[in-house]
Amino acid sequence: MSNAILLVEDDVRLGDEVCQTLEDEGFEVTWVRDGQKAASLAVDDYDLVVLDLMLPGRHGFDLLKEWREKSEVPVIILTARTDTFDKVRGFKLGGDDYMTKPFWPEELTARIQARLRRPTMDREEVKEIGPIEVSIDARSVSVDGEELDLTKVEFDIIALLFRRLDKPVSRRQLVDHVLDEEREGGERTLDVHVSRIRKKLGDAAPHLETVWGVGYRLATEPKEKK
Amino acid sequence: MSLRFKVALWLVAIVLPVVTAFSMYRIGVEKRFVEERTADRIASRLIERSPRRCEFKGPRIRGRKRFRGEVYGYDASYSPILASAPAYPEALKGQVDDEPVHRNLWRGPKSGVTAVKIQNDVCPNVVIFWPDKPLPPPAVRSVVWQTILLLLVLVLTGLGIALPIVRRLRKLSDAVRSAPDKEYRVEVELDREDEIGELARAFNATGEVVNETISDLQARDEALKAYIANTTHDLAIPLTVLQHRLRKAVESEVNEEVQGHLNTAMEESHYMAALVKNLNVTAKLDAADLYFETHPQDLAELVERVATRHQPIADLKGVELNVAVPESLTVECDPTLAEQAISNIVQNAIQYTPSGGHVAVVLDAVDARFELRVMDDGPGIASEVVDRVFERAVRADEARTRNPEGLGLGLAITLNVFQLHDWSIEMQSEDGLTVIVTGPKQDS
Repeated sequence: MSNAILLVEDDVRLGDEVCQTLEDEGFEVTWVRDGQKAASLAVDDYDLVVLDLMLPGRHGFDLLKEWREKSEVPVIILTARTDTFDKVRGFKLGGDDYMTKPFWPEELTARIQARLRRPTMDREEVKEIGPIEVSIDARSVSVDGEELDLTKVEFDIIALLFRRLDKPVSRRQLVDHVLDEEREGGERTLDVHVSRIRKKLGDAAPHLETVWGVGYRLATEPKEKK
Repeated sequence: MSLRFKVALWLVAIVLPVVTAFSMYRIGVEKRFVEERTADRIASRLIERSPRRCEFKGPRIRGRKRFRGEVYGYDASYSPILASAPAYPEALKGQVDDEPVHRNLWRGPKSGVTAVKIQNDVCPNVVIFWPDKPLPPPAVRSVVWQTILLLLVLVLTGLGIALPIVRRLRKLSDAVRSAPDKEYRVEVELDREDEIGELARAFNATGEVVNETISDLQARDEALKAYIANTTHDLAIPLTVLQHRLRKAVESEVNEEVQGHLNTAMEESHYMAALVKNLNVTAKLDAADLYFETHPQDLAELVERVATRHQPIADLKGVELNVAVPESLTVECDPTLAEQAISNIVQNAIQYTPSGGHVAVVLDAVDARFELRVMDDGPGIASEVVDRVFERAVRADEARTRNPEGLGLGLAITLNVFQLHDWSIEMQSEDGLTVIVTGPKQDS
């Protein structure tokens, strides 16, 4: 994963913390405290920018506007103001996301990782999830190299979960997208389908998790069985 | 009651009876005047040409067509000559003894009597008895006409005074009502030297005081808001630093006791962060009628962001936080307000769910609406408490958070925000608490 991050933050204490947090997470951080200086850097050298708005020398929005003219680098805006205007303007100028201070280190790293991961996620058509191998193009699912005999609905369920890999998908979403509601009914039917898939998955069944209150999840690393 | 109606009522209730009573009095006076004149004339004639006989009755007096009185003669000792004649009126005895004159006495046994001394040896005393007879129509008619004329003049004068006043007052009140927003000033009637002009000037003077007070208050309000904004801004950085340090301290190897302290410190700093954000949202809500503006926003992203914010505390408390959102779901909202409102619900769910419990945040598109469900398997809340939560939020004065009833953090703020967005919120408490928020979504 690419990991060069440009941090533009004028506050020493905060900049120091964020810098450390990101470095602990394995990112390579360049920290500038001045708007002018940030403007002089080649922004395309970085994989992502964390940008504070209130800067000496140059306002964050001006920087963002300038960068957007020549670069597509993801920008996460840091703001202490919970002003809607800032966010809307930030999005309009091409900001990808924003963080409102105060925030936990995990919040920032999660947002950064989400931004860095996003473009590659969508294109993936074949992937191994533990012993399970899913191929969307071939409409096939195999466990330990052995292809499973799945019905259309069963495959659609896996495909939808695969698209949102490691994220829970709600029952309603699954029913809406996969089941023909008039013919097959609702969430009870879905549960029946899932238990059939689990049976077919055999030992790999724990990868297809039930998520409390939500629905199901296809997990790369399933939680330990209780 | 309008002024015109009052004037009319006064005319009818007061002026009409007074004028009528006055006319009745005038008819009485006129009648007496007419009768007196008639009496004078008849008495003069009797004195000039004394009748020879003493037995005569009214109609015999010629030339007096309308005269219907009765005339009787009496001797020197006031005894009637005619047996059927009434007694001589006591009050007139001795009144006309010396000279040939006459005296009128009104309100006698009939309506009036006139005693006359004449040149006649048998009946030197003559009395004319006046019957109670109405005034002849021509006299009454003139009084009635005069009365009607008087009434007409009075009504016209009343209206003539009242109508322009009414019109000017109307104009003034229209001007007050249509005065530019929050200016409290009128431009009409100011140059008039009467009470209405005074009223207009007094209104403007009061308006100036009101304006001054308002601008004072606004200045104070602005200062307070700026102070809150600056304070929250200043708090944001140390809180972020605090959270980062605490997180690092927790990750380092420390003994269990210290770990416990650190966990508490993390929870408290998370709580403080929420307070700071709610404080800011409250300030925004106060000015919502001025600044509330919605923008298309990906609610899926917003909900994920909220979940990420609370994940650390959920982990700390041993609460499983599950989130499911569609790939994108656009709604019209104020992202700041909506995010904090949803954040409060999620934070409450985590706060009231014991270790080992679950919290689920699920966003779905249902037809043309979004549906956000925040579910937990905590203790839930009693239905009457749910009702009270809504009651309080209507009053919107309870921004307090950790109260003994456990109504939760910033719920009033949350409900206010949803109201502003026209989103509906519903709470169900069955095996834990489920909060369901729905609202319109944009077509994707």
